[in-house]
This record gives sequence, C-alpha cells and structure tokens, in this order.
Amino acid sequence: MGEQHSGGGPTGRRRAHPGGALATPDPAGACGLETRFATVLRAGRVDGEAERGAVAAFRAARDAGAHDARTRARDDWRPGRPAPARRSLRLTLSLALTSLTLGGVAVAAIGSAGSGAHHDDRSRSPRSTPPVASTPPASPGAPAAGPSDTASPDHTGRPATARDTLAHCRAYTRAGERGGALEATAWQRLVTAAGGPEKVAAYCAARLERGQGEHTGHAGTSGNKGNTGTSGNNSNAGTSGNKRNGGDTGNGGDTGQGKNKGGDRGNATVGNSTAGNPAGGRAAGGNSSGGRP
Amino acid sequence: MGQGGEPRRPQPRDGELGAAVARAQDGDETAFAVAYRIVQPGLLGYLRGLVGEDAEDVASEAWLEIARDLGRFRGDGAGFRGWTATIARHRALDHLRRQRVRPRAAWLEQDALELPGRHSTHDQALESLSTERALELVRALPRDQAEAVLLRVVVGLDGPAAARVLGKRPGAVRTAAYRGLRRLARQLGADGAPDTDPPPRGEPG
Repeated sequence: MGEQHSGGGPTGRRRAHPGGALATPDPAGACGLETRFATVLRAGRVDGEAERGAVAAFRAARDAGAHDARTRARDDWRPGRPAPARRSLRLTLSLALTSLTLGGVAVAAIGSAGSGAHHDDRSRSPRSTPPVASTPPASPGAPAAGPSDTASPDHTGRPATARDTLAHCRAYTRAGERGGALEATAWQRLVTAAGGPEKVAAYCAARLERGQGEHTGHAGTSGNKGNTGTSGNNSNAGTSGNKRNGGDTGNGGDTGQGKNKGGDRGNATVGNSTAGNPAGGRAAGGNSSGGRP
Repeated sequence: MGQGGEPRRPQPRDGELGAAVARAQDGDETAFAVAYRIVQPGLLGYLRGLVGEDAEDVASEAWLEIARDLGRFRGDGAGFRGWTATIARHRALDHLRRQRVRPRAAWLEQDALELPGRHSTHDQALESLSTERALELVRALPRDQAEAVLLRVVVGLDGPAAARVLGKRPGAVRTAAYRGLRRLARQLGADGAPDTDPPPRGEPG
C-alpha cells in the first residue's frame, strides 16, 4: 500500500491538499511539514473491495431499519454543542459530591438514632466483647465465670451480663421449679451459664446469695467501694475490666435490692479505672469463693 | 511550527461530505459510497498510525459500525469526520487490546528503517518522505502526540473535534499536537542532514 509516494521527489507536491492556504510555501517549513505528512499518510490505493463491503453493510442496515435508531449523545456532532466529555466530567463531579453529602447525612442519622438513650447498653455492648480476652487472669479466682463467659458470644451478640443472669435467676426462683415459666432464651441462657439444666437451681442460689452479700457490702460504703465490688462481680461474669459490665452488675443489684444509688454512680466511674480492676477482681474472687460455699 | 494552536482550515470537501452524508441518511447508497471515498483516506492514515499494517482490517470493522449507526449521526461534514474517527479509534483500541493478549511481530520491518535519501536540505527530506518513513516517525512519537498529530493533520479535525475524539481537553490536545509536530520537524531535519547515517541520527545536522 501507499507505494506511489515513496521516493516521489518530483511529484511530491502534486497531490498536496487543494486546501488552498498550504499551496504557498512556508519558509518555516511547518505548514510544509503538515501538508507533507497529510499527503503521505493519506496516500494509499483505494480498496474497491473494502468500499463494496462498507456499502453492502450500509444497505443491509438500511433495509433492516437500523437507521431509525435513536441518536445518542456521542452521535451528535452538530457544531455549537458543548463537548459531552467535559459536561459529563462536571456532572460526574457534582454527582459524586451530592452522593457524598447524602451519604454523610444518612450515616449521621444512623449514628443519632443508634445513640438513643434506652438502647445504651445494647449499642455499646459489642465493644464489650474484646475484653473477653482478659478473662483468664480473673477466672482462677472465680470458677463460675467460665460458663457465663462462654455463654455471651453464643446468644446473638447480646451480652450475657451478670444482670441478665441475676434477673433470670430471680425469675427462676420466683417461678419455682416451673422453669418453663421463663421465656425460652432466658432459660437457655441460664442453663448455659449454669452448665446444665440440673445445675440451674444450685447456680442461681449461689448467684443470688452472692449478689445480696455484695450489695449489703457496698451499700454500706462509699461509691468507691461499690466499684471494687462491681468489678469483682464483673470478673465473675467473665467480662472483667469492662466498665459497662461492671456497671451493669451494679444495676442488677440495684433492681434486685431496690436501693443504693451508689451502684449507679459506680456505673459511671468504674470504667475509667482499669488499673483498679485486677485488684478488684482478686478481691471479688475472694469474695465470691467465700460467699459460695 | 506554531500552527498546532490554530484552528484548522476547513477541509475542502466538508461541504460535499455533509451533503453526501445527508443523502445517505435518507437511504442513498451511492451517496454513502461518496462519503466513504472522502473519509476513508484520512481514517486509514489515522489507523495506520495506531495499528500499523492492520489498519485496513480495523477500518473495515469501523465502517461496518458506521454503516450500521449512520442513522444515529447528527452533524455536518466536519462532524462526520469526527464521528467516524471516534468509531475507528474505538475499534483500533479494541484491536490493540486483543493484540496485547496475543502479541504479534512488530509492524516495523527492516524496510521501514531504510535510510532516508541523501538530501542536503530539509525541503528535500520532506519531498522524499515516504509513507513508511512518515509512519515510522509518527509512531515513534508518544501516543498522545501521535494521535493528536494524526487527527489534526491526517483526518483533518479541528482542535475541539480532535479533543472530543480523544476524550481530552482541547488545550491538552493542542499542546500534544504542537509538540508532536515540532518533534517530527526536528527529526526530519536530522534525517535530511548531509552524510547522516542512522546511528548518529540524534545529532543536529
């Protein structure tokens, strides 16, 4: 292809564009360069076969009605229209910005809804799982911690807090031997915590006794003492070192005993003192082992 | 050399082309053949710069699509050049993608590296410029420069149209075309220098 022009010195300009302006030689050679490249690169034999193929395709498309197809943006080359590429870039940017903004609003809404007051424990509860890793140091002092600890991940992410256990135990004792009076999940949780259906009675007796002992203790003393008490309880519950659980335990005691706001105040302050936890756990270990037999 | 920034002179046959396209859109296949003959040389030159010896195959593919979608097109003769160049470019990029999967021998054969004639002046170098040599020079350019030069010089698009084909801003395409042409001129000048052999081609004559 295109051999006509190779080495065609004398005929070089003959096929220069009839585009007028270029006919005048440019001293700088730029126009000559463009013209020459245009001429040379546009040269080539006209392939009649290719042309026939294109015309045949045209005929086929025309007869098939393809030429009634809708004009897309990329098919519109009428002058005076903004280049779609640039407009779409701007459009893309603004769309991205809008979606970012809306997304941010949505996320913020989720956050504010999730932080509703009465869901406080639940919304924070998932974060109470990591401290599970710190359970082993506490468990030697409190053998009962094992079951209730492993129970917590089993129950659909809901923390098996000591408050729950205590409440269930109270419900259990109130219901007497008719364990069926408890709702199924609560009963299951109790069974898991106790380590078997037949051990529930003994387990609950020990728990209730211990809870009472602790609360009489910390009701008599300051809120600080209450802290150690709750965190000790906490180690029993298997999630030591966690302020919520500690507070929850105190809460459970509250509802059970119907008194002392000290536990509640302990709830607010316990979590901050992680350093106090081991000591509290140890103290509680002694406490619980003393209380159970 | 500074021509890269100016709008291109309208192609001489744009009026004729526009009329032919309009008639073809009404179903006139002779008019379609006329449009083909007007557009094809520039399209083929552009494709040679992109895909080398496979240009005719790619052009055939492009024309199938052009023939099929002709009814969608809106615009005049110059617009038709841009529209067809866009289609051809997409086919060429598809082709290059396929080629990358199944590599073929480089299209540059030994004869493309033939010595330029021993001419003593720039003009003579231009006069003797062969298609192969011109292609070699253009294809040696960075891709964006080569495409900008080909679209503006060979296809005959103006700056905005070339930019639209390439999906770039007109300023970027203008700069690329300018740099590409300057580089071509420099290389041609070097080639045309007396007693220049290929190895020391880089030296200014």
